[in-house]
Amino acid sequence: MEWAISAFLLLLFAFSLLAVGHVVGEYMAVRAASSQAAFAAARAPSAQAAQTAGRRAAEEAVSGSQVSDFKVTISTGAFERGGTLTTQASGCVSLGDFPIVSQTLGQCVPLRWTAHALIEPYRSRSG
Amino acid sequence: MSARGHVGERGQVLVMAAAVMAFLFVPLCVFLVDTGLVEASYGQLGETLQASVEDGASQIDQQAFRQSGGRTAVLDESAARQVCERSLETSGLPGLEVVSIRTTATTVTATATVHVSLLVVGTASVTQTRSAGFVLGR
Repeated sequence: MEWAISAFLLLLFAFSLLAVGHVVGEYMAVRAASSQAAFAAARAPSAQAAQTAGRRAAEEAVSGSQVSDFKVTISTGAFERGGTLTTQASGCVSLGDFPIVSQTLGQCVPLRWTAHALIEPYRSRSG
Repeated sequence: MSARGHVGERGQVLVMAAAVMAFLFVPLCVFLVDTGLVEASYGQLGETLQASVEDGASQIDQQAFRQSGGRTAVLDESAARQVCERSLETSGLPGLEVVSIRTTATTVTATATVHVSLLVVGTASVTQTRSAGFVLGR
């Protein structure tokens, strides 16, 4: 009996370990997406181009990951030279591959990261 | 071995399982999370530094540039340092500490450390140096 309990607990822990590794990996992807979006947007020539460039950079950063419901918001403000822009990337990592662990931690672990960047002071602006 | 021989051994597997969890799985889990945090901070520090030195390297001395009719372009070292520092501050990277910002006539070099709070052990420090120079006409 104790063998069964111990084996179950050890197996559960081993799967939890894999799940944690999975979550950490996806967390890194969300962080990278947010900061790369910020830096790409900060180098864009206009606020509209900043939105496009930031979203593209963020999508590229998470393209190889398994983050679901990925969203990135880019707040450019007035997009003044030397100003600050803020990006927030959020997503969800599914624990569907770990059935027992997902019952404890939930089906989906939310991940979020906010990054800031200085809008390039000397870049030509269109419009 | 008789059934009576097992009586004194009851609970041994539970002890072993507890030991495996305490000395293998828990440290492994902590190591996994800490490694991820340090790796993420390392990558982000590099990106932040690169963006900051590039911001700094865009600060040319406008007066010298205009007086020379666009022939001479040198870095405004003071402005470059300020912009680089401001860019690093703006990034809001947790645990960021600017170690040094050096400028020459054409390049900006910044060194920064990020202190990452680990789960158990305390903090880990990651240091990186990045440089950027300005290029005219591209």
